[in-house]
Amino acid sequence: MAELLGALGLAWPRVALYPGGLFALVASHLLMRWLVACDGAPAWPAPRATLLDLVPPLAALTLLPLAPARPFPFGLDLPVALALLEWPRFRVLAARDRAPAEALRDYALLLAAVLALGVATGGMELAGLLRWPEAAPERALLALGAALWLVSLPRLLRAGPGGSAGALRALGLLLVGALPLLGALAAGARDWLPAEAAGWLLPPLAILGAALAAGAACRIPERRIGYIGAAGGVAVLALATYAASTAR
Amino acid sequence: MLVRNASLALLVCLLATGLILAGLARAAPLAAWDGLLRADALSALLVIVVAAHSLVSLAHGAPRPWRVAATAWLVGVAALQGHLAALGGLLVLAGLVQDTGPPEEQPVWRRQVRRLAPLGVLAGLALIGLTGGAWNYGAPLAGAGLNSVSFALILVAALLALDAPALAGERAPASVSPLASGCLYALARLFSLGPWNLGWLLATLLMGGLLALWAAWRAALAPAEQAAPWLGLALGGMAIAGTGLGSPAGLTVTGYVLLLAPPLCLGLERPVAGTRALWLLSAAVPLSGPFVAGWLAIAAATAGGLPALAVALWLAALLMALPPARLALAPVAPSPGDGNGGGEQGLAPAARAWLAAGCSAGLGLGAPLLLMGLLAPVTTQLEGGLTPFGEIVVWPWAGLIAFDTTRQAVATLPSLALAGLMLILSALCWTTLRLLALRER
Repeated sequence: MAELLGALGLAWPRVALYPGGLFALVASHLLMRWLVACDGAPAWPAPRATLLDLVPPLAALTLLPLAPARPFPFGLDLPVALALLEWPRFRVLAARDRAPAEALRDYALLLAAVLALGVATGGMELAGLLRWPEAAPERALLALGAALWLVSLPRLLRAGPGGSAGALRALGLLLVGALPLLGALAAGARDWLPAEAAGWLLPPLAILGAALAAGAACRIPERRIGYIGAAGGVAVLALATYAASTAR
Repeated sequence: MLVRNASLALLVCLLATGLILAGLARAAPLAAWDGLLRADALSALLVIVVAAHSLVSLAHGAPRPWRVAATAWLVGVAALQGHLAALGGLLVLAGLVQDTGPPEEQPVWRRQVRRLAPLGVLAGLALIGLTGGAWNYGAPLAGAGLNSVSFALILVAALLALDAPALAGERAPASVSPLASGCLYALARLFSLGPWNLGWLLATLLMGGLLALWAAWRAALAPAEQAAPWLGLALGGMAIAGTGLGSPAGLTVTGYVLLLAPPLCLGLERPVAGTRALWLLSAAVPLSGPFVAGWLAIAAATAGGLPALAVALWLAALLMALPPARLALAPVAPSPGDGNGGGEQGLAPAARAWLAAGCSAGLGLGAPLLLMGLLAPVTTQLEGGLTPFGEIVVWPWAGLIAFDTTRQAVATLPSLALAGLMLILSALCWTTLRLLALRER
């Protein structure tokens, strides 16, 4: 009990400053402006922010394993983070008649990405996405998973609600996609960049890179995204099978 | 009224018996009369589930309450049998006594198939006894008779009892019944006889995964008021997939899903649209019972090294989340009227919805306690027949954590920590929103 209360007490910089709190509000606002510039803004009108809509995505953002925030001992995994982040979108989805087909279409690419990330890291933990694998197949799968995740974002974001909750959701999804990129950067910079400096320098780089990639994905026509998704799905299956066959 | 009250009393007694048994058999199985009567944690779990299902039927105003009580007691007593033939025989008897519902709801052949499904369990268990020569599942060499034919018979019986053939037709399946729970129990009981071979595990996994996904899809397509039976079938699929994982984590999923099915039936069958409490029966609501069930299924599949199954179950959970949410968002129904299906003696629909929501929240937030008190003893006592591919344990003062075979954490649900954090965030957000509102004014 003391451990839980202690962890929650020590988490105030996460709640107030980074990756939740002030950072989340400013970064989500900037991200929405960037998405509007890239034609990737939500098509839905921005509903008035309510407590019910804001808290789940904010909780997911607060618990993301991003340096230089102090580590939180009770980290999330992908299913929980995604459920928290997708809460505002789900409320929109549930109100529509064509929801099942829409959900299947929107989430297909994201689930392919999850499959790739899951096989590459051997689990669903978000912290696992920061570990750049040793073996080549796993490395390729992680990179492919991150790429598919970012490519799936435009469709998901356009279909979601706008407003503060939608912006927090968009930021959360982007940051999850940035985690493998951060892992790759950290692995590349391990030999020449001190760990403390890497903790301050690399996360902004990874977030910026992911935002640029998401912006670029927003400019890809819908139909081409379908082709990319199909090719990516086949590549994920092939690589996952290969990785499973070479696993010790 | 007298029959209804007597049935209610009998079912409350059965529930109390199950809870007492769960406490007594927590450390080790209880046995009497040379093992003819045998109760372990799995038996206790079935007794609790069956009693809960039957109480839900009474809450819905079942027209023949004595049949409901008799079926529950027969399945409950079957759970306490150490003799394989007695176990199967009592399930068959329960099938004959069971009330199959109004004839216009389902074709006759499907109702009869569902009612006679325990015959498959009886045949499978009898084959095990005849082949191996040992009829007591607690006996040292009881597993000698376990073979593919008996396994297939029991698996098919479980699928039929769940009304899986409904997937091929237009009409909705029957609600998850105590009998279906009994057949699932018989399937899980095979772990008492020894480890399953890989083919059986794979067949069960595929059947369960397919059933969960397909039924969840049908649930999402069906009108929200009629989705409950499909959701029950999807939960049954998850339970079968959990059993097919053959690991402590998989069996945890089976147990949790069995416990979750009665509250879902209570809230979603013949519901009253527009009740906000129904949100808590949606897997999309963090820390609700269905959410935790979905997480457990995904975590167990990941821990078992089956990410494709994890993704399939994830999709199933997503689709299953839609009908309760739609019901909660629907315009408020003007009058529940005869929405009780003629059972004016049952609970009012709104009361059922709130009760179900309370149970769902309790199952979700209390999942660590449930795991410690009820589900961990099941997996410990069946450990001899289980594979080491995955385990879900309590994360002290945080929630749940799933480990793979190398004891590496593969999935984490810090439900208590998350609830605490969300409380803090709610306070902060509320203050901020109030300040913004004041400034606007």
